[in-house]
Amino acid sequence: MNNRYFRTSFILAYLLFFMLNRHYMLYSYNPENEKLTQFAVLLDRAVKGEASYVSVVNDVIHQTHQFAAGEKTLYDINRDLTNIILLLSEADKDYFEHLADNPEKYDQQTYQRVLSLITPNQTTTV
Amino acid sequence: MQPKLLELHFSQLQTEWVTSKYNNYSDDRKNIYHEKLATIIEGLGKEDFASLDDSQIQERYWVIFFVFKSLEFLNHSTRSTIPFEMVYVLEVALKEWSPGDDYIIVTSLTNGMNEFSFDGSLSFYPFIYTYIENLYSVSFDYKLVQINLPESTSRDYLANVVLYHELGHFIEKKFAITRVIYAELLAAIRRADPAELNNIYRYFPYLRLPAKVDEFEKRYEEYNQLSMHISEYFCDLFASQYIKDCSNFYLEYVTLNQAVESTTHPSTINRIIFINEYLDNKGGFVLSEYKRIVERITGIEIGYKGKDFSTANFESLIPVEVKELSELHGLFHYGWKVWLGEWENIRQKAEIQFTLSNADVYAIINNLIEKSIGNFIVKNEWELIKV
Amino acid sequence: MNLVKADIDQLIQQGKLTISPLLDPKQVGDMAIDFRLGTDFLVAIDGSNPFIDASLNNNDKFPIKNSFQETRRKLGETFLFHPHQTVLASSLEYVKLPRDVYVELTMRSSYLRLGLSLASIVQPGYCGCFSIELTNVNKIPVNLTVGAAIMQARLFKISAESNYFAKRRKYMCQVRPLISAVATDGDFIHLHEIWKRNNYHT
Repeated sequence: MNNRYFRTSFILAYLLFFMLNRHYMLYSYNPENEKLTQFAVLLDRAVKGEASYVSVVNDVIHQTHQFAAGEKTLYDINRDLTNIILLLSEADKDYFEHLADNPEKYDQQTYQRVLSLITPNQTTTV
Repeated sequence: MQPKLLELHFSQLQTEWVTSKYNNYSDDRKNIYHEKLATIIEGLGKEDFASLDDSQIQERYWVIFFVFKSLEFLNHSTRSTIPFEMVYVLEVALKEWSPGDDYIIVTSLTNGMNEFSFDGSLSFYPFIYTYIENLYSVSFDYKLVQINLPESTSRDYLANVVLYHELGHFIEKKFAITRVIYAELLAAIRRADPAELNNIYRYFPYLRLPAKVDEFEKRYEEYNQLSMHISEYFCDLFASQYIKDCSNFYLEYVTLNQAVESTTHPSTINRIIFINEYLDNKGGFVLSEYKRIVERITGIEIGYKGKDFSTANFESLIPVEVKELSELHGLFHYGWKVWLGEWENIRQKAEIQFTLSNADVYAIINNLIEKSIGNFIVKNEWELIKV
Repeated sequence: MNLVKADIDQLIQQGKLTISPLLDPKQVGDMAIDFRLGTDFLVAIDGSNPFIDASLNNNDKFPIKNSFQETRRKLGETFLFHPHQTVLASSLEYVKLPRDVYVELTMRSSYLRLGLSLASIVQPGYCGCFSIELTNVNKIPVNLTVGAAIMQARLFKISAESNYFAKRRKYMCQVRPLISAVATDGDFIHLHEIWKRNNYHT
């Protein structure tokens, strides 16, 4: 059976090639990877002080903290964020486990740190 | 990304919009959605991309992607040849699994013979909606989901049971079901309970190799062999809740009973065993894990969601009078039963005095399934309005 | 014998006459049943064919399907009917007639007055949606509502039963309008052979 997600649009690949060239050269069309890229954009905006994205970013970081600290399980975390939370938690479980439980305490430094974890995780498959 | 490349992308969108902006839909929700796209395009048009930094450019990139994808779906849905009977039945199933979400299902008729799919990509990117709300103050009440099915068999309700499997892909992505099963199966391998291991190896034989297990543990990939196989088994299971063993018929039909697994799909033989064990209420560790995990995540128990009915209406050449939603799913099983059965029953009941050809029976079954669904829709709509 | 309401109701109750769906029991009138416009249409278009070919003499070079385009509507939506356009449609209701009852199908008076005409006979034992071939003879377009009761069927009982399926039928259990299968008429082969003999043989 065909799965639409496998179809790589030429234009998409072409543009992504240029868009993402800071980190890697080629890119496979993969919704979870793309979601991560989109989250990285939010983080970058938050690092740059864009207040309107802070609550969304804080929610992801806070749920990752709860997962890493064992307060939430694979079954309780937001379904849309499952893979991002697991990836972040795997990237630095200790960091998220000991992060403040109050999202209001997250700041630019937190966002910068999370952003730095994401970049190497956006691995490339050709 | 250079701003010029974003400008190229936006120019492509503007060119597309020259014709798309005149789309007219019979469903008012689509008109509202369309107006929101117009607001976004207007907003994008006022921006100076050259003044944006990298992440701002990426935001716009994804917004343009979103509008393009939406139009890809909506442009097709202005076509007035859609098989709305099939779409209705799939919507019934979708609502059972996602009652709180508002989706607009659109349909695209494809050229390829087996190009069945469910494209839910616009509902899997929550952050794009965040960008759009922040940048253009536009929020969407509905998300678009697209069903793709081949034009040549769009009225073939025997083949279209495949769409239940495709709906399964949408559901498993929406709830991240594969991701959880993936983690739980690998955890079970580390537990090394012999009974569990035996059952896991039966469905995923390559997990006997420790190096493979290490590889899968090291990194989850949406499209690695294990995650794709988990996903396919889930979709078969999901489909069989509605169409029982018809899922096996279409598997045989599409894959020719493939005995060896591929990187994307388990062997057909294993898939059929998996479904039969479920239907026969047997099954070992893997099946019980699927059931447990799905219920825990979704709150919905895996089980037959269609309703059998006893009728010989098709044999008498009349549609079935469907009384409740669950019977709609039962129509497919009934249709397959008639197709695989003795056509003598039809000849006798309808007193047909000539030999029925394959094409005759094919047309009769498809017509009667379509009319049975169509009548249910029409009656419901009629009775909803009290004048 | 023209069947009246009591006869029709009795046939329905006995399961000898199927009308599905019968949205409103009032559709069964004193001496006729109102039928509704279905959801599917085949519209005659100016396609690539220079004409509609009701013969075999051109080796099927101009298939009839090229002169018609399919379109669908949902209940309550409308279909715009252009002047002098031929449209194939179906009744919303699926019907199975008794073996001794035939139907005369006409437009309801209200629709005749709009310039739409229809006259059709349906044989005993027929099953499927009624196929209707509509032409707007008015000079202005008419906007029809899908699901509206546009036609009426008078039912006539005949003295002997006949089996609709005693011979192979071109249209079985149809639920949408189908392209004319005129080219499969047995006579056509005969007439085509005569034409060939007269034109190609010395």
